[in-house]
Amino acid sequence: MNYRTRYFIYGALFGCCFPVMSSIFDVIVQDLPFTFESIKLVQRTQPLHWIIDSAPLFLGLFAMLAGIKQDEVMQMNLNLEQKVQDRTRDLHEKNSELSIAQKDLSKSLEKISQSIDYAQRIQMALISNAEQMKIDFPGSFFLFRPRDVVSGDFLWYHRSNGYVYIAAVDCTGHGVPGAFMSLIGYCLLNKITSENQHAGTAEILDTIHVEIQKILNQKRDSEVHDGMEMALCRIDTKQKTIDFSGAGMGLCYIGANGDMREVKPDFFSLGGFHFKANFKYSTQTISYQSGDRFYMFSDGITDQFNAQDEKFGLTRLRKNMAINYSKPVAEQEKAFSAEIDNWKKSARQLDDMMLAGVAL
Amino acid sequence: MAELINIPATEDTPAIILDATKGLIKISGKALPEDSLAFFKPVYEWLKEYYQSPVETTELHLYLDYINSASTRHLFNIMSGMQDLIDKQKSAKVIWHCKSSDEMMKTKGEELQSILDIPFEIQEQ
Repeated sequence: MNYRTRYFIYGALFGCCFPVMSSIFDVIVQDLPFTFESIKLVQRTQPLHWIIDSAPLFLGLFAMLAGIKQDEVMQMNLNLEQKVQDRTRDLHEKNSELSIAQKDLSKSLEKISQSIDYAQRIQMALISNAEQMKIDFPGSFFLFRPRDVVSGDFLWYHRSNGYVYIAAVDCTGHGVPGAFMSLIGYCLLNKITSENQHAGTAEILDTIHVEIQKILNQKRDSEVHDGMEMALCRIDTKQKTIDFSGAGMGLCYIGANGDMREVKPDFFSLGGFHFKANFKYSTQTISYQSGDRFYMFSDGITDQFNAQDEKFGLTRLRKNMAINYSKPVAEQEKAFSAEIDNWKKSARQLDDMMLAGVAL
Repeated sequence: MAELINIPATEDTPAIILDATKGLIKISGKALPEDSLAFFKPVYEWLKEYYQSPVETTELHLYLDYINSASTRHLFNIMSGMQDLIDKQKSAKVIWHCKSSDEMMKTKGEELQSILDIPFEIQEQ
């Protein structure tokens, strides 16, 4: 039963008290016997009772008005409750959707991570022959710090025909696209040096440049301009000379006496398009003595920001080379590593990092 | 005529302003997009349209704190577009802004200056 009906009944019942009481009262006042006939008599003779008799109707109606209000309040409460229930159900649904999405995400992430870890093993297998450098040139080391597990930076080491070739390579991109490019570079270096065992360093760079353009179908206005920077050395251990050609990556040379000098590369990197038509790479020849050493590095190190948004910079790296070059390999590696860590701290790594130190 | 484009900077990408009426291209911040081509595509599209009716003088202002090698290649493309403007008898100029403390960006600017055959100004702050 709703409130309006219930209140009307209560009001009417309460209203009935008035005609009953007034009639009884009048019977007593007029000193009549307590019979239904006496009540009928007072009711007939006294018009005031007629007004009092309407009390149940009016009180009932008044009470009903309050009942209507009460019904409205109840209805509002009901609506509110319904809304709360709806919202709660929505939230639950959203929540479970979210947790499903989260599960999907972490599943995808796990798959991608596993796939990249797998790719990393392939990449590590490929570049593991750079380890030979440490055996052939004791006191040499290299430091790898891929930004995302697999790397666009790599070191390539090759012996052929009495020469030792060492290349430090920084491919465009990092992560998976960087690693794709590194494979192209790695295979081209192998192919060119095995096909032409007397290949000079500039000749190798010229060939790689053209080959990348071919492999990636690069034309003047095509969209893929990827390529790589490379520092390439050919060491003649008998003559004690190094032929160096650089495509956007130079080397830092330190004599046994501590003299440091920069061997600048040609500006243009490999692949994509050079501004100058028919550009050819140049070769610089360095005579060395035992005990000299040189460093090659990718710009991931020098371009690394610290928390204050300052770059590591070339000056700092050179300073570290000057301090550390004469230290034993393990210590050098540790010192450079610590210096980079100390600089980077919680700042994120922006690019792959590589540093190779060759002791002659 | 190509319109005005204003791309706000993000953590990985620079802010870019392309203003056809002023002949102004301004790139500022850090450029290390994961997919550099996707990022620079709107710039290429704007340039293509702009080259149909360039104003007399076009200025390319660069305020870069960092640019990765993939983005550098796109920058080369944009700069060689400046060369095309000069070939069309219009005037074009590159202004390379860098912090005097940032030797890496300063060197990069100087290298570009030495190999490009277009007016190229380096302004240190």
